[in-house]
Amino acid sequence: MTSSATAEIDRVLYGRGERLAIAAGGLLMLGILAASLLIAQRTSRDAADAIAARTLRTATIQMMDSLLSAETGQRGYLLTGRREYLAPYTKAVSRVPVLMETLDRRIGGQPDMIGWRNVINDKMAELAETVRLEEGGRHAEAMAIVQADRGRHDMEIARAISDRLGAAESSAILGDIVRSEAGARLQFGVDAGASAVLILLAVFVGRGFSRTVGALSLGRAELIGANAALQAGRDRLEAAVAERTADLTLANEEVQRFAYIVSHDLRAPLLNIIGFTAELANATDRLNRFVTNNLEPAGITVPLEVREASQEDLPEAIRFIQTSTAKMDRLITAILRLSREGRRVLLPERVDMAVLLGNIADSVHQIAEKAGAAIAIGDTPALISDRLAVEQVFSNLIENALKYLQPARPGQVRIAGALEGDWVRYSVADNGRGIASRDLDRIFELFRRAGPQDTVGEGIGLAHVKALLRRLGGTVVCESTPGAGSTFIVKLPTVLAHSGEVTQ
Amino acid sequence: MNAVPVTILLIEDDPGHARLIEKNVRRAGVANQITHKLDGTTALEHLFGRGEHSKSDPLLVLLDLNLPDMSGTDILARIKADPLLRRTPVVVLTTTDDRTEIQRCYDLGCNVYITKPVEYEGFASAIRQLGLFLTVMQVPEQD
Repeated sequence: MTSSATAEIDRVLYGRGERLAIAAGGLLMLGILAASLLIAQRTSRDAADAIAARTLRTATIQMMDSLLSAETGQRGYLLTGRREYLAPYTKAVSRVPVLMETLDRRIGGQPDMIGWRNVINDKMAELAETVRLEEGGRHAEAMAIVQADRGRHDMEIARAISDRLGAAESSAILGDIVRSEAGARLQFGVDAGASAVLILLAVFVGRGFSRTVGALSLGRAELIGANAALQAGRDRLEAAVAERTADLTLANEEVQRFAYIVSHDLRAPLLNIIGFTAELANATDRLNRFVTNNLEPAGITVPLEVREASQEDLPEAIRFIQTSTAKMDRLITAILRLSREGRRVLLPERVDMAVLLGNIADSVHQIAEKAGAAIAIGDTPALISDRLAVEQVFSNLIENALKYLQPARPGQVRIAGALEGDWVRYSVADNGRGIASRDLDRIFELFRRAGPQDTVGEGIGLAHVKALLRRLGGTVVCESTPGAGSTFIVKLPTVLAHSGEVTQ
Repeated sequence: MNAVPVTILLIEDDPGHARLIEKNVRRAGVANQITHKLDGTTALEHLFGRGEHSKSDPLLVLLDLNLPDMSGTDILARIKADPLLRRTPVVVLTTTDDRTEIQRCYDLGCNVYITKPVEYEGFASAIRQLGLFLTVMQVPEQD
């Protein structure tokens, strides 16, 4: 994927609107969180206040309740003289100081509370005194205190203060409740707002997302369409290639047949020329023998013109004809061989190059020795190919290397190989006379040669090598420094595809 | 040598080749009658048609494979399929040394396969060798 395509996808995935929305959403969430925390703190404070107010209210009510209980117990005791009536009083006596302490802690500084405490203490003191007098059997004295209305008066004041305190406390509780409710409402509002914002954000981003998903699925659909189009194009291309290949194969087969027929049919008249030239030579011999054996011993003078004709002109002409026909025969044979080679079915098999090259070196041993040359075979990886074709390639290259040596120095032919991915690269290097750069392509053409024509050859070998390598799916190139030597580099697939029917 | 005459049937479309072959056969000292047919049709007529050739007469066939009207191998197959003619020695003469073609001819029963241009010595000796199995009339060496 290209970087521009990546950028495009980024753009689609995260539009500017979505980016802003997500940033704003983040900020909002932070704000909501902070507000929530503040509200929660306040609410919890309000709640604590409310609890405190309730505790105070409870304490106030219990205080009044305890006072009444104490009075009830005292009255019962005084009326009956029986101690069991005193139980509410005793209980209240132990509870009042505890309640008082609670109240003092809460509202100890308030004027009502100061007054309330005094009146309660006084009431409790009056009750304690009457109970003590009663216990001491002084019933009348106790009753006198009760009837003095001190206690009743105290109770009235205490009740009045209690009512006032109660009202204040209730309103405090109410306020707390109201505040608490307001806090809760605020909390709810904030939460609701946050939820709304979140929902809006989700909707917004979701819409963006769905747009993105839509764009993506649209892109995917487009991609599928493009792929289908690509596939269709590829199919068309493959069909075209197959068609072209079939055409080429046909054309190739035609060229093969053509070469075969031409060489065959060229050969028929050539054979007549060769045969009748032999007849001519034969006849000339007989003529000359007759002159030498019969006429001259008989003293018959053969005119110089006739002698020249039979002994020089005819043999010379015949020689030229024979040289030319011999060459023509070789050329036609070469074309025939090439066309036949082109039709041969290749048989891929494992070829141990070290063994194959060793055999070639052995077969050219005498030629090498005569040329004073050494053949060195280095590391040469094996491959799977057509043995015969590979052998012909390297035979030709090695024979060439030995053929075009520099007489001035001992010949060196070095063969090496190395794996290059799915290929094997072989090199056949010599220190021979080299090839001019302008001839590097020409030498692979049929019947073309380079450099001084001082060796026998028709210019077939390298054309054959090239044709063979083309069939083997390989290549050959030549690197050369004139006067220093040439290196032929052959590249072959490590595994030759099994394509028996292909003709080239 | 006894004197049962063997006829040589030369089936060759190229008159030059035919002449050269004839000359070399003669030069090899073979004096038998040579019948020359220039195409497959007339050759088959000669072999299988009425009249001209009696199937019981001993015969040697020199056969060119490249004929204008048919392949020499068709004629070879016909000869080798015929109960009377199948013992007839056939020398295949052709311009090609194609291995598969040579193999095919031997499979069809050809006795000698000779590649043109005929190396005359080899050609003559092949004819003579065949003559050992047949009764080939030899003429005395001329030289």
